[in-house]
Amino acid sequence: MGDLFTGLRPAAQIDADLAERLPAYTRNEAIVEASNCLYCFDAPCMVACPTSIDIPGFIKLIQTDDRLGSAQRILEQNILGSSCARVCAVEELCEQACVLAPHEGPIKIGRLQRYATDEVYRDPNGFARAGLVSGAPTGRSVAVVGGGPAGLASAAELRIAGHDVTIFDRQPELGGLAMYGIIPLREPSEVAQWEASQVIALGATAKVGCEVGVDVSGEELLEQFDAVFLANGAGRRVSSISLVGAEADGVEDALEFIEEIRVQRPSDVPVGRNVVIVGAGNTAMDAATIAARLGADVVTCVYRRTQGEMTGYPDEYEHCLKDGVRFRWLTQPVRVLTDDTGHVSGLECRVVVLGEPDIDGRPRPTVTDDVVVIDCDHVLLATGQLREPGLYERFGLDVEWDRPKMTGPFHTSDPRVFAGGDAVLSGKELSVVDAVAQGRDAARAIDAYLEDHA
Amino acid sequence: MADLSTDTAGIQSPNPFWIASGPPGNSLRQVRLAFEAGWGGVVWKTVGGPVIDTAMRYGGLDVYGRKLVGLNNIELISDRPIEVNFAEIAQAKEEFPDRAVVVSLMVETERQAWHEVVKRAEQTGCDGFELNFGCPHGMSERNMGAAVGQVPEYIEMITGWVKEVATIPVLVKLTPNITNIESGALAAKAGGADGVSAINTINSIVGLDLDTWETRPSVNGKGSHGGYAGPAVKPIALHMVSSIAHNPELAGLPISGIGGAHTWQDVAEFMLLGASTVQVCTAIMHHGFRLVGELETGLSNYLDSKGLASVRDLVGGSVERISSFGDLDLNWQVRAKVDPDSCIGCGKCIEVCRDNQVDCIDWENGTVNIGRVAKVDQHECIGCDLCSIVCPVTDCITMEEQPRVLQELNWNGLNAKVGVPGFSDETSGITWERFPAEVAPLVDSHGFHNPSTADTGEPEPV
Ligand SMILES: Cc1cc2nc3c(=O)[nH]c(=O)nc-3n(C[C@H](O)[C@H](O)[C@H](O)COP(=O)(O)OP(=O)(O)OC[C@H]3O[C@@H](n4cnc5c(N)ncnc54)[C@H](O)[C@@H]3O)c2cc1C
Ligand SMILES: Cc1cc2nc3c(=O)[nH]c(=O)nc-3n(C[C@H](O)[C@H](O)[C@H](O)COP(=O)(O)O)c2cc1C
Ligand code: SF4
Ligand code: SF4
Ligand code: SF4
Repeated sequence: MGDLFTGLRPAAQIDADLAERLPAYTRNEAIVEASNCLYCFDAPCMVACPTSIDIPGFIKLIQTDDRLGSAQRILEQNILGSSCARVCAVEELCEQACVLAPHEGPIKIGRLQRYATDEVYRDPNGFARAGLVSGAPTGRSVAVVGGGPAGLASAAELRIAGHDVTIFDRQPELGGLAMYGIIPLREPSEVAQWEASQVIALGATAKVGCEVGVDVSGEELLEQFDAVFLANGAGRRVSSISLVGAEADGVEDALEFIEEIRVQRPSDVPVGRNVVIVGAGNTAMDAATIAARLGADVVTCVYRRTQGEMTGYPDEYEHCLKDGVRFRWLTQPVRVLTDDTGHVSGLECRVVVLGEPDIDGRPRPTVTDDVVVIDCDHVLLATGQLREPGLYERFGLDVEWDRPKMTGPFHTSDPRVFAGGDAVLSGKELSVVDAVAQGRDAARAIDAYLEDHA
Repeated sequence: MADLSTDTAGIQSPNPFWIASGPPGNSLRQVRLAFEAGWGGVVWKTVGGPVIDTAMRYGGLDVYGRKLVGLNNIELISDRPIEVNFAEIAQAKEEFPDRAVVVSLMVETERQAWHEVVKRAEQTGCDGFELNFGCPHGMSERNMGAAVGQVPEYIEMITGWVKEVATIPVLVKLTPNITNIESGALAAKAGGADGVSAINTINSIVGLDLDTWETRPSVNGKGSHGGYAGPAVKPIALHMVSSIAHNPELAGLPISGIGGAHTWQDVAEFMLLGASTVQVCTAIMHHGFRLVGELETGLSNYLDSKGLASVRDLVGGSVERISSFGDLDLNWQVRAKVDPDSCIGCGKCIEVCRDNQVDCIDWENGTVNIGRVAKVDQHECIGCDLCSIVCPVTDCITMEEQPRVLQELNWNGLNAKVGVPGFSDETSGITWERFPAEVAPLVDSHGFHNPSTADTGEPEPV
């Protein structure tokens, strides 16, 4: 007890186990899969895609061996088509809506999208080759706060419209959670980096390592730019749960843990032998998968509700089970126990029982006095991000609870300030593809605003 | 199990599945494999004068990712010495006496040459001849193959020469590269042929290499037209076989059907349209000799399910169903109907009816994205069948027969009533000026012939 460990498994083994999970389609595999698509009329897959990619169109282009044309179709709707091909919850989006889903199974839209976009991926000139080029200069300028999917999508769209764009991000690299939050099994960080590089190639300026509200003020941005787009995400730190002793050594924010995996060689990231993850959402599942593959002996997710209420996707849950992750349902952590060095040694939890249904019809969890102690040397908190409404206040915006008060699609209480992406979304819409749709459409709203306020 | 044995112009075989003259029947080694697999007969690869084949002699047509829907070739007749072929043919017949061994012949257009080759070939003990008047490439430039088959007089003349010396049945293999294949069959009959084989390959260019702009296949940068075969040609072959079977002057002329046969259903179709054996080439080039096992099982089970004792009961069974357009009942109506339980909501029917027909299909449940189903407006539907053809779900759209509103009417009958005297039935003297008087009541408000829903004016009572 005491410290966390590296080297529990050979580094090469860890690298291999954290490499992108699904292999790329070969040309032949892609054409065969594409040939099964019915080319539906008014295609439901396309309606289900938040960015409305012309799915039957791009699949027909794969089938007829025009891979670049296929990439063009995708990127014209969704500049992060490469990321989305890898990280979208297709089983809840396009592939769920595919008319073949209940029958022979859906067309593998995500993998076909990856095949198509791989045509330009890594090409320093990729976006240009796919027909994404900057428009004639308008002389107007927009500040984009946050270089995640929403910010990048807006920046690309604004450059295509000919506006000057400066992206501010407090992180050292652009990409937001697509860069720092998504595990490499799903998307290698090079994909997010390439996409960001292409937005820069479109002529956007990036100011990284620059926190708005700290390094530059809201007023300054409003003075220097004609409009501001807030795409600052849903916050960084986990929301606090009432957990006594959470400042102990070995208790960590699960997002930070994942971020370490993204910025270092994974085998250099320390992990406990006995890891407890608090939560059963997507971040929890991702952190559990990583901990298990780094070599932790036991990984346990504790969740105060049951499997039926967990927000992680069923396939992520399956992957976790295959990695040997255990789940303790109906368990509410209350206190971190430490050893004499101050390092976490266990998590004291209370048993939860399900009571009468609440107004949504879900059984209400009630914490009992029954205590369970789970021994552990590493606790990862994955209980949702903590929003940062302070930023909105610094722009003088009306705030509703912890988000900017919206006065219309993408419009905040200040007509010069727009917001979108995770910053304004919640629930299942906290996703890369929704952020891209928001960024793109917000850019159109900003463009219209600039037109009206010449 | 039904009896599969057949007789084509006196050539007996234990089943109707023959190897067509081509790459699969070019040597004893192959024919052994074929007969061991169960093929009932072989038409040996055409023998004749010396030839030299090119490398790259085939071109495949893939459709929607399906391989070899069509096959183009520029291969010539057998490139093996004629005496080697004859020795192997004799050996094959000796080893498999119950199988049909037919020798395909092609020599230059000289009476003497034909006499010699026929006499020599008969010494092999083969069961019959097939005269190759069909090869559309390579040999036709040397005034053989299709160069003969496109001129009925030559067919008759050469068939006559062969019949002067042959003591075994003679089939004439016809080329489809002719305006009316019946003229070729009539000439063969006039020359004394015991039967015909149809069809040979169709002139084709299968495609280009879009990088180099060369043809496929390309022989060191150059190409030539070839002969087209495989599943894509089956409908053309079926029509040609049926037109021979249907021609009263050719009644009873035995036919060996060829062209795109691949499944037991294809074989049954050829037989129902008049063929007594069916020859297969491209399907073996795609799947090997083994395929005959599935042909045999499938066809036997089909015959059993129909209660037929012999495969011979199929031959010609559909010929009388083929009529001419002028005899078709214009007042018989069907309407498309979607089974909402099997509809998967792909919308293909909606789009094609909108873009090609009368735009009478829509979603039954409005704007629902998942779980939507199509519904046909029965009042507007003209019963064309396009939607059911494109629907990806088998039996989801059915064409439902409608109660008769107007009594049977066909073009010939209409013409007899209102046509201009002096015109024949099918050329018709019906003009738009004369049309409305008799037929306008059958036209719906959009101008479509739609007897079920039109304001029928004074309908002729049923
Ligand atoms: C662990 C994890 C796994 C996920 N997995 C998936 C997945 O598999 N599929 C999927 O679709 N989605 C996934 N998501 C969600 C997805 O990453 C987000 O919904 C998406 O990145 C939101 O994009 P965004 O641009 O709105 O915000 P973010 O990606 O959060 O970007 C916001 C950016 O703003 C910057 N920023 C914030 N405040 C400031 C400031 N004051 N000054 C300067 N910069 C600032 C941040 O540094 C950040 O770069 C996952 C999220 C997490 C946490
Ligand atoms: C249903 C149908 C109706 C057609 N009607 C006509 C016609 O009125 N006039 C004409 O010149 N060709 C007509 N054609 C022939 C087409 O113009 C075309 O030559 C033929 O279908 C081959 O092309 P395709 O393989 O693209 O269908 C018709 C074809 C189809 C399938
Ligand atoms: S719903 Fe499925 S089959 Fe239809 S177009 Fe979309 S991917 Fe193709
Ligand atoms: S049968 Fe023809 S007209 Fe009727 S619904 Fe189908 S496509 Fe339309
Ligand atoms: S084509 Fe068939 S499955 Fe598709 S919507 Fe129409 S009826 Fe339904």
